[in-house]
Amino acid sequence: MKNLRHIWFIALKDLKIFTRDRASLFFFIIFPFLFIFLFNSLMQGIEGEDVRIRIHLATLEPAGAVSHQILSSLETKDEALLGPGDPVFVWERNYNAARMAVEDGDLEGFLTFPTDFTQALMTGSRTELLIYADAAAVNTRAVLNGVASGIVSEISTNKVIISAAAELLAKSGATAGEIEAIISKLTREFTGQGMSAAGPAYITYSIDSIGEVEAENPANFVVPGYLVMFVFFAAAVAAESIVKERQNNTLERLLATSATKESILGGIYAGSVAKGLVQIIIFWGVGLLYFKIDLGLAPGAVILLSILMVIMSSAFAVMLATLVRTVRSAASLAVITALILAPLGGCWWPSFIYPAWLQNMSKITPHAWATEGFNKLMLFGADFGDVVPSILALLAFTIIFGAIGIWRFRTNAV
Amino acid sequence: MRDKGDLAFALLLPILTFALMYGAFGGQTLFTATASIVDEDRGIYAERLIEGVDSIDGISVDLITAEEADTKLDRSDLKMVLFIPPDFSATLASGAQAELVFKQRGNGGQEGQILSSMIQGVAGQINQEFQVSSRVKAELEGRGISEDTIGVTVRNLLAAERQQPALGVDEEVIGGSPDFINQYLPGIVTMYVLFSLSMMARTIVEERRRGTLERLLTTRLNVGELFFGKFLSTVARGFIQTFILLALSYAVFQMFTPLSFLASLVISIIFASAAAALGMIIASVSRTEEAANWIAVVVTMFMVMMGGTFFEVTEGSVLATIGTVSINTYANEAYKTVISQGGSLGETWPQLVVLVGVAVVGLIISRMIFRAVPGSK
Repeated sequence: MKNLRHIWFIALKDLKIFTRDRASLFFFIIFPFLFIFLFNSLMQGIEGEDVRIRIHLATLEPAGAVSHQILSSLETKDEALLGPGDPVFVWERNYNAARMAVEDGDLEGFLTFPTDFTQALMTGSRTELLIYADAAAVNTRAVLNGVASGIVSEISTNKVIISAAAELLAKSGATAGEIEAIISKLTREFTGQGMSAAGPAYITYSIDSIGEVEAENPANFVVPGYLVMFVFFAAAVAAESIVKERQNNTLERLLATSATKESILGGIYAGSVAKGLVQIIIFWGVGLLYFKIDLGLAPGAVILLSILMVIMSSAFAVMLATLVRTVRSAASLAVITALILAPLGGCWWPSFIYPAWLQNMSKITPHAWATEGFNKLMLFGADFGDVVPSILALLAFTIIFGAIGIWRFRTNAV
Repeated sequence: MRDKGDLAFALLLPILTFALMYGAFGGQTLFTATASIVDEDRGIYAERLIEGVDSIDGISVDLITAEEADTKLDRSDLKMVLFIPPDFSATLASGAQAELVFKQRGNGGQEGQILSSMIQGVAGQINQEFQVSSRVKAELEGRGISEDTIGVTVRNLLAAERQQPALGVDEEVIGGSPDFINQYLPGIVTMYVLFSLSMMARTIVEERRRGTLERLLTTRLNVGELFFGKFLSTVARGFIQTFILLALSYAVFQMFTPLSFLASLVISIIFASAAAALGMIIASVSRTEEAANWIAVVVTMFMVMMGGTFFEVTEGSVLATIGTVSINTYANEAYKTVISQGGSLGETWPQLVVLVGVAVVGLIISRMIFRAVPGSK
């Protein structure tokens, strides 16, 4: 009972110091909102755009070649006639101008039929479609590769039909003339009708449109990202004051009263948790009331993740304080860890846009688990079950940091 | 240089940050997305379709229920979901046309449209088998060739064609990583130089509070000499930090010519002077180490964010106007002119004039309010 009272007093003392320290209040509560305002306004409208993909095509063949028939059939003549999700095909008639446009950054990329395309179709020799694109235009390159694969698939279909017919005719004892006749007939048909000669498709597609694309509220990503960063930052910086109290023997003096080492540790930890809780209440309060964030289908999970982030960060603060000797080291390490772990953990940019290897690497940070949980809940409509791994990971980090903190905690500076 | 913490902050942190950004954005050459699919069929062709989509590099599949899909589409959490209807495999096996349904909002967003085209590509391969078999059967009708023989021949030829298609795809790309390096590296270098120089203010405040500066005044040093000594050491530190980071970039990315490297060093020393002057102002106005710390962090983060370090600021926008008060804006512009646009040092004079101005004005202000002894005049 006495221990609990000591814990309460120490925690209350730390909380009072925090609320009276204008610099801390500014840095950990007001300052994050400057970033949130900034990024919220920068990202406004992103994801709300729903423009059709434009696919640019060209050919190096002269007029009358098969590629001209294909391009003519693909080219979008009237965009008003397109269905939802249908791409716009643009025929770039001047190959060199299109190439220059890519080099100048005016065009992200285009697909070209080679000079020997028709000849290759007629003779069965090998040739290649050419994609010329800006390396950074990942989406355009994916689309162009998709279109190229579709054309390759159609050409392959035609080629296999001819080969299979010829092979089976030969096996059935047909004469060379009969075989030659069917090859000529099919080749003429396929080259004459572009790519749609193989017959009706067996798999068709329909679009069930359920409304327009609605812009994602960027605050749904920005607020939790900066919450994670600054809750952790504030706790890490608290390690500095723990070291300071140890260095100026404040903790030793507390022992001279009836306070035990455990209650001092408990008080410091509870104080850090209390500060974190104040932060998350303000973050979510402003987020809900001003930024109109959506907590998703499982708001309880969002709250639980936030609380876990606070108790994990507080455990980290205690651990950090026990690992360093000087106030300066504590301050430097707090800033360094906070500034490295935040971007790595997806607080500045969503970690789901990272390549797979970096996403895996980011999992060594508690930030990544927390932001992944928040993103799933607030951006992708996940339910409680989907974020159980994040919850368990944050608990594991808390236990590891807490265990090291308890093991190494000392009240004397020597 | 002997302080390991400071060294880590000055050199290791910028390298780590750049490596992180480069890993995240610079080397990205693959479209990555998750395809949400509702499989109400669970038949052989649905399975093949899902496996095919999942096997595309960068694409993962999330199998969800129809209810989940409807809820997420309704909330705009998803923009496009593929529904494989219950009779998909059975219909295809019977030789009839089967339909795949894309439930989507609008055009499905850019990601949805790309995913849709990829899904259609995989479905096209399944369709190809039926289409080829059907056409060959029609062509050879009445010749007494069994359906099984046609089926085996078509499958073998399709497999061979997929292994080595007569028509290939060649991709030639331009730009990419070098653009990324030129775009972001100067910003990250200036960010950490400003960070470490402004954080130097803490050391000066600490020395003042402990009386170290006062003790130095008992030697032949006067306040002015002490002040400029601190300023010059801060500039030197910033210049060495920038020199090491730029030299490393030169060695690793080959992003400089000898001339542009020299020009960058000139920019570096001017930027270091401006940043050091700001650090001296922070040291002069702060009473405690904590205050110096917080002011340094806030000033640096503000300058960095407004200085176009992580994102391009659109010309003429409000942000661009706010960005004019950030010294990083001018340093980053000067570096970009020299590094990525191949410009000469002369072309960066407007930026250099501003930085020199900040250094001079900052020095004058900080000298006026600098105190070596707390509370002295």
